[in-house]
This record gives sequence, C-alpha cells and structure tokens, in this order.
Amino acid sequence: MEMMGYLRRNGKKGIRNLLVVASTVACSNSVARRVAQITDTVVINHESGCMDPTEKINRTRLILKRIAEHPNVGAIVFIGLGCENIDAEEIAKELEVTADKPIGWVRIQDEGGTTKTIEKAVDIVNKFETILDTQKRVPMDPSELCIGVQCGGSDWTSALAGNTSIGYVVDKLIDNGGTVLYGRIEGIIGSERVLASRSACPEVGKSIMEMVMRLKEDFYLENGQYIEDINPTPGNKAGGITTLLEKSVGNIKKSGTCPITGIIRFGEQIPDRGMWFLDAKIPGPDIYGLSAYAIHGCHLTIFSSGLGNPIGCAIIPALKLTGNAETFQKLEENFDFDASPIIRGVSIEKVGVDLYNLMIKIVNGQLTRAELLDFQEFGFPY
Amino acid sequence: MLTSDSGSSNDRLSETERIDLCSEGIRLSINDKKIAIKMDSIDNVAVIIDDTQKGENVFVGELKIIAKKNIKRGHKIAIMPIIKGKYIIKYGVPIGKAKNDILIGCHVHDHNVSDIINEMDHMEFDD
Repeated sequence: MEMMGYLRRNGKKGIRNLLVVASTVACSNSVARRVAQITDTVVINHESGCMDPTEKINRTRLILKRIAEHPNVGAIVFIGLGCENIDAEEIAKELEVTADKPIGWVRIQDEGGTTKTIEKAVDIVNKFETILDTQKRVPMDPSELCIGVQCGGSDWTSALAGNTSIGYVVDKLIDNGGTVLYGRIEGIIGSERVLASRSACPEVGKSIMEMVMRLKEDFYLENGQYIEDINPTPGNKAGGITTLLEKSVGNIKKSGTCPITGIIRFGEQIPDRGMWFLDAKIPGPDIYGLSAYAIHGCHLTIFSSGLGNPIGCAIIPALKLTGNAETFQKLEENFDFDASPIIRGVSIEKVGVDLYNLMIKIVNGQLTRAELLDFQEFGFPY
Repeated sequence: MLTSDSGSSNDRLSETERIDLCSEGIRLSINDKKIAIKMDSIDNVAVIIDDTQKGENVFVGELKIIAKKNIKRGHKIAIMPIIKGKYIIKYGVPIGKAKNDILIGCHVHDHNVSDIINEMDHMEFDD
C-alpha cells in the first residue's frame, strides 16, 4: 500500500492539510476559539504569551512556530491582542522564511474589538481554504514519515500486546527508512542498559546512560526519594509488575528492537532518519506527550493504552490501540485497533502487520476515532 | 473465531487437539485449560493470562505446569526452578533476583523477588 501526503514547499510532506487558528496570547483564546467554531479549522489555545518569565515566553513562541512549520499544517492564522510579548505580526513575519505556507495574523486591539477581529480572521481563513482545496496528495515514501510512540493508562496487557505491536511497527518503519521519536523518557529508567546496547554508536549509548543518570539524580533532588522507592506503583504491583526494571522493559517494548540513532533535546529538530529519543521533561497527562511529538515534527502517534483514553491531538492523528480485549469492547468508540489477539496466541508479526497497514491508511487520510469525534487537544509542555 | 470457552465439559478437547496458532512458540488452548505466555526463549517466568487457582494446570506452549498458588492474570509463574540469588528473566533480560529458592509453578512477585536496579548501577556499561 502506497503512502500519500501533501508536499510542502520545503520538501517535507504532511499527512493532513490542516488550517490552524492559534492565539499568540491567552487573552485572545476566546476569539481564536470562536473563529474555529464557525470555520473548518483547528484551534490552538494556551495560557501564556505575556507577563511570563522570558524562558516560558521563548518556549511558547518556539511551540507556536513549530506548529506553523509542521508539515500537517497547510496554513495558519495567528490571533493576537496587540500588547503581548509574542506579537502576531512579528511571529508571522519570522515564519515566512521557515514555514513557506499561507500565514495570516490579526490583532484584536488593531481591528477594534472581537467582532471585527473574528470577521477579518474568518475572511483570511476562507481565502486560505481555497488555496488548500487545490492541493492534492502526492506519493510519499515511508522514509518521509515520522511517528511518535506513546503508552498511557497501562495495564497487564500493555507490555504483552499493546507496546509489543507498536514495537513491530517501529522496526518495520525504521527498516523502510522512516523516523521514530520516543518521548516520556522517565519510563525508560531501569532499561537504560538494554537501550544503550542497541545504540548505533558508543557515544549514543553513553548519552543514554548519562540521560538516565541525570533523570534519576533530578528525581532524588526534587523529591528526596529514589524513583524505585515509588515505582512500581501499588497499582502496577497489583497488576503483576514486581520491579522497576520489569516495568521499564515493558515500556520500551514500543521502541522495537532497532538500533537507536540518537537523542534530541526539547525544541531541536530531528536531524536524520532512524530511532530518536527526546531528552525532555514532559508534564504528566498524556496530551503533553502527544503535543511534544507534534512539536518535534512527528506526523502521527501510535498510542497504546491498556485501560483506554479518548484523547486526540490537534495537529497529529493519534492511532490508539489496546492489548486488552475487555477494554477494547468497553471503549470501542475510542480505539482504532485491537492488539489483544497477541495474548490469545496470534503472532506479534500478524497483529503488527495489520497495525502497520492501518497506520498507512491513517497516513492516507482515514480518520482516527479521535479525529472522528473532533477531539483536538493540545498542551504546551513547560 | 476461536475462544477459550469450550462449552460443556463433555466437549472438552484432548491436549493433542489443542491448536497451535502462532509462530512465537506460544500455544493457545481452546479448551478451558489455563495458559501463560513466555515472552522470550530464555525466560524463567511466564505471564498468566487467566486467573489461575492453586492446583490447576497452566500451559506454557508445550509445557504443562501445576500452579502452586492462586495466581492472577498479568502475574508471573516460575516455569523452571529459580535458585536463591539467581536472576528472574522476563523479556529475555534480568528484571530482579530471587530472594529464596523458587519452585516451578510458584507465583513470582515482590514476596520472593528483590529489585536489582542498584546492582545495575555498579555494572559497567560495555561499549
């Protein structure tokens, strides 16, 4: 099955052709939302943009730019207030170079209130929409695809079936020259040696060991406890997980068995194909994990959840699967794939191939359950 | 579609009629016998798939084990004797160490397994 994507002027391909309305400051969130309600657009809101420490402002600006540059985004309109740190016109001008696509902006204080701002923004959106409507999908090689792997709401089936089937897809995509990003590195503590032994070169192995050592030290400094003192959790133990090592080896099942190419820090672009780790602290709720994958250029995420989670992400489709047959039955409207046959003896390869093929369909435009339900969460990870 | 539900006990299939479904060395029993999954060929534990009572047979591929304790699904059962101080191997890697001698069929969990994460810190990373 061939993949098809939207060719951007920088040569990258997107798997969606989204029109985004983004507020540059929390003060314009409602206007941005109103514009999104009356147009076929995706809204990005956040709680920053002004009166925050420089570091937070810079991160907010960076995330807004990464959203605009994302290949799944066909066009973007920034809704500014007028007196904030992140100026709508300024960010739009900066992006003209790095994100060669239709970019618009309005300021509420310039337009003279919210009604006029909404009208102007809707006009811009309509104009951009006619441009996007003319764009057609072109063939896309698997080597042009980048995916993020996530697990959340794990249970006893996650390591056995959910993460394992993701691991199969990861290995297949890497074999085909694609790119995979692994976030949520706190989950790998305990398995750093397994990962280091898979690194493409000794330097990467050393970086993985150092990254995990730092994670463990930071955890102790912040909390006065070792991570293994609180992990596995009582819930994990009740589910059969005995040690932190066991938990983390189950977690990294979703990284497959491929060589590990390298590590990027928050905000860095993935420099090359292959399997990458994101060395960044991402807040707990799963939506921050999905958003981090969008910020770092992943086209979609594959998300395994033993217990189930309805979330989607505004910028990238989230293909959700479970290894738990009961969960799949109970929450079927929120799942795209059932990996539980692995537990009943069907081979990982057979289930993995089905999952890979579903991923291609989703690349080509088939909507995920979260997209069908119009779930468009996005969280700015600080 | 195959299920583990066999209907009345008279319809029970013999062991030889169990169907080998999979390429990973995992077998599925279509009668009501309990199964456990061994994740890697070198593992000394397997994961119980259905809540198992003490004295019940558990099939791990070809291997038949008698559960020595009630073991819940998702929990580990010893599929070979594990001597005190030896590693518990799951997914092909050590995940802990036996606190005491563990017999075949025993529940393997925090009552008889210690964490080895600190031990690992002192191991050299082989590059």
